[in-house]
Amino acid sequence: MSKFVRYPIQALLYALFALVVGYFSTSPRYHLLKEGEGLLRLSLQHPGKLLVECRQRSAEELAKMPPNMRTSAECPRERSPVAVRVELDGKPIIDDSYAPAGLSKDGASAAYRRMPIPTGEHQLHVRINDDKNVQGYTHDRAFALNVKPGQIVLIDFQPELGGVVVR
Amino acid sequence: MAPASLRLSPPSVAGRAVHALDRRADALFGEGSNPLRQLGALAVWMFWVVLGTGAYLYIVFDTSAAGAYTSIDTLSTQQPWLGGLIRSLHRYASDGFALLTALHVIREWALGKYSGFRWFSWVSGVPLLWLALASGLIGYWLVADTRALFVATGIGEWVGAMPGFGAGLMRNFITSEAVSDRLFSLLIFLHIGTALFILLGLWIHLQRIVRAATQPARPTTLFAAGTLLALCLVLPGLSEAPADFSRVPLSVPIDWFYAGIFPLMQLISPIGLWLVGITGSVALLVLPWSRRTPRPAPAVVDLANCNGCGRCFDDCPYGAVVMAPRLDGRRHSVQAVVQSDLCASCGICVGACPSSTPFRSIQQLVTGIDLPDLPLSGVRDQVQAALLTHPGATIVFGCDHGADVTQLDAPARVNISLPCSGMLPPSFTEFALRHGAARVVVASCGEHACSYRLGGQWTHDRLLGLREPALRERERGAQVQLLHAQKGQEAQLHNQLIEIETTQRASATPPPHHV
Repeated sequence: MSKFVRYPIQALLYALFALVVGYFSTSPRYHLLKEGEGLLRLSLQHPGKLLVECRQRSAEELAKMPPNMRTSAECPRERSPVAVRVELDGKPIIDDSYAPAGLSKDGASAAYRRMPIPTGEHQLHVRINDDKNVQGYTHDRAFALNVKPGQIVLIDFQPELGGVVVR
Repeated sequence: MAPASLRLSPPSVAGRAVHALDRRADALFGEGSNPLRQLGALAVWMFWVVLGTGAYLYIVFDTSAAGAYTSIDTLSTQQPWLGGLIRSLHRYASDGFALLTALHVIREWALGKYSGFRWFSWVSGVPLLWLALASGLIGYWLVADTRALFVATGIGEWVGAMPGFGAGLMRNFITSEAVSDRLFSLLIFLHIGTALFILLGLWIHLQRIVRAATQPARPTTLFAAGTLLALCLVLPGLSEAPADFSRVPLSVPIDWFYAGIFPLMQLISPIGLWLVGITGSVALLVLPWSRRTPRPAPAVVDLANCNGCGRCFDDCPYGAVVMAPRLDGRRHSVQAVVQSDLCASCGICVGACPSSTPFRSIQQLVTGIDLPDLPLSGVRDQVQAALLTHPGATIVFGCDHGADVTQLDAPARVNISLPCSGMLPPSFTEFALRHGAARVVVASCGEHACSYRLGGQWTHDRLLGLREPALRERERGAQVQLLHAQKGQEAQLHNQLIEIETTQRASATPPPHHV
């Protein structure tokens, strides 16, 4: 094969390589949401209440313990799971319970969920129970939303801001 | 005539496809400049471009949350011919690295180059795939645009699904307030750290490869550089809009070479993606032991015939031969020692050994280093026996991995296939001519197409007197021919042989060594 034929074909094949690299570097575009959708996100990190209150040890109990471990109060570390129920326009879209972190279940519960929601006006109702010993929910808040295309509605839990917040 | 060599299992469909592609590309690019034969070297070259351009980007990168976006975006807007070009090179070289690495893995798999003595190179390459993915994804995060936010969210959701990380991980970059300057310092540290680990991993990956070809041939390098540069000029890498934590763009122009895992994650869940990744990696890691083909016996050293010259050490493509202090008390200071686990049983060391000459007067030809499954004495006996029954024949020494010379039966032709043409000591050609061969043809795979990497080159250099043991100058002539013929090129080789035989018969010159 003559070099006058080979070199252009070589150049063409290298260009094809460049085309593949260049195209897949940005294309095809990945569609995160459909037209007319926003995104609802639940992201919270919150330690539930301690499951059992501290109690005072009796003198007999203390006597049976090694001297270096004789603390008068016994405080189990396990925390309550955090239950979350989210309703959008009266329909439950999240209804889950998040276990506390750690081997002793004494850490914070963390939740992350993401789902597209239609744009427009919605009623959002968020209820949270961070104490297993309490029936029902310990935090309850409703929001009126007007979701725009591509808008992120973030449900968070900030005790210093009064509990459930939407950002 | 039956071949003396060990026969190999036939190549798979994928292997035959690669051979066919190689032959076409060889014809177009030339064997030495065929990019398909240099995928690993090209990937390493791309990686050097990534490192070089990355050094500049690191200098100008602002690691604050507020300044990260601007510091990269202004490269494209304010200095497109320097910073913008470097940035584009960084992106496209990393994409090229990913693509070439994937092709390199597929090619080696198709050719069956993952088991036996090659297991180490294969297994040590698997972590590199993960490191490349991690470094590439973190790199996109640094740009702090909407694409970065997509990548950050994807990483957060993916890693957050792993036990021990949890959903709390996502909170570090779910709002603008959560993103701190320290996050970008951490990211640049991880980005560069993983790249340096890739470099370390490459060094480990090539540990069992002697004279590893980490640089593509010059024409290939020039073409690749030109291609990369042209791509950067035609389609410069640009930032998207700055990351906005309150909005999701409806669509993102993602880099599919790296971020392509996230659309898959949307389909199969983060845990599903972990399962795919871990299962795929484990499958790759155990692949070398999935083939039940027995390994041929490794080369063995005969100390009585080893003078410690070190030629086998120099020529072994896999570092399987080392020189160690002499143990038998002879006057030579060192001896060759074969590390069995590393030995490919290619016989290149046999061809390199100065004691591998068939002219030695000893009854049984014993060489300093030999293949137990195919001793050199057997090859000599085969040549002698064949020439007794076929005086004036053409002796064709072929390679098990190249064109199958056993298919080339013709009157007055003796075909002997060796594990590699590099196993043939050059003196064997002279020996065959002196014992009545009309001519000797060595059919090598080619200097750049050897299955054992260096056999074709050593064969060429030895027969042309460029490398010891060299064919003596007066023996180099029409009676000894070196041809290149790869698997699937049996017909072309046959035609070349007929042409050589016809031409030489027509010249009617009696072979000078005919006895």
